[in-house]
Amino acid sequence: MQQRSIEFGVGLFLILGLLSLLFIAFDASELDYSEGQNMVQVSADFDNIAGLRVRAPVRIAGVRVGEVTGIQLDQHSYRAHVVLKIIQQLYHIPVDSEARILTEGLLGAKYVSIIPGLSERFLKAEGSIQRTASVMVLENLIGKLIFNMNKK
Amino acid sequence: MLSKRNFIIVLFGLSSLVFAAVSPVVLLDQTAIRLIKQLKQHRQQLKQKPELLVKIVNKILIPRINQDKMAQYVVGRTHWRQATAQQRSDFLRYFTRVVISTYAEALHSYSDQKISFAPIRGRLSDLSVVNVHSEIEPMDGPVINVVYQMLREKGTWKIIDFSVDGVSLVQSYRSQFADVLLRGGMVALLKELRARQAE
Repeated sequence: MQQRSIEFGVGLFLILGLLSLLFIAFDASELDYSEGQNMVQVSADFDNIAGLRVRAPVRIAGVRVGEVTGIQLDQHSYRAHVVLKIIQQLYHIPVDSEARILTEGLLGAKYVSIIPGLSERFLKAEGSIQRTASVMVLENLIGKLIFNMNKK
Repeated sequence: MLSKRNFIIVLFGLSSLVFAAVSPVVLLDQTAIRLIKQLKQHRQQLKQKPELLVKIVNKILIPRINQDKMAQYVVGRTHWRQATAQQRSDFLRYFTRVVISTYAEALHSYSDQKISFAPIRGRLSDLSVVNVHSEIEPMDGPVINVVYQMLREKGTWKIIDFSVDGVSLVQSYRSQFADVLLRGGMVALLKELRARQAE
């Protein structure tokens, strides 16, 4: 009888552990974040997105306002067409804003940063951010550094 | 009745208009060619008189740059909107000088590097901003990548930012000025720029 209750306890503990793992997984990836909020879709075309992924965060002044929901290659311009979804309450993007791809820390994941422009007009839903800047490609920089070191 | 000379002037005027509307790449290419020609022509004088370089940059390059926009983006939305008209024009004047001297310094070390511009693919007509990629090929060493961000305004393309190997001019001045702006706003920034100029 006592054996049984220990086994029962262990089982319960295991289930609890699994549940909390699940909770951590969902909470860390902020899956609940986009649900229940009205999102507005905009897009931006980049020359090079080097490692930006779908679901990467979109930030204005470091504050998370949305996420990347789609990445496609434009067949005609050979540029990356990136679709962004932004929370409606935070949605006031001047038309001349600039979108940049930045890295979290030195080698972290990529995210999209929007720097607000000065226009009094704001982007409409489904609009596109025209000013974009590509990422600094680390490999090129390292190559340059090595070359300069050799020269000395 | 148009005289022959006037006719040529009109023709030139038209062609530059057409070019401006057609392709920002052509525009940049022409500017680079003119700039290099001037540099080669005045090579001997330039060694003695670096001021001449400022003049050349002023004449050839500055008309291709949308300084208003550049200055606005450097200061940023909040501080630009708080600034008075006087502060704005003061800042524009100082910043233009900064840009000119940045360019003049870069050009000072110019020695027959090849400059090439990549064509823009896709339809230009839908866009109001394009990034023009260019490569500067030095005699030795790796290629330098320069990207010009150009804005179409009233039918003409003008530079609003450029970046060398991924480091943008506007962005670097922006972060340079950011903490001065945070501490004392436009007043402090103008004071600092004035002090720098005096040096």
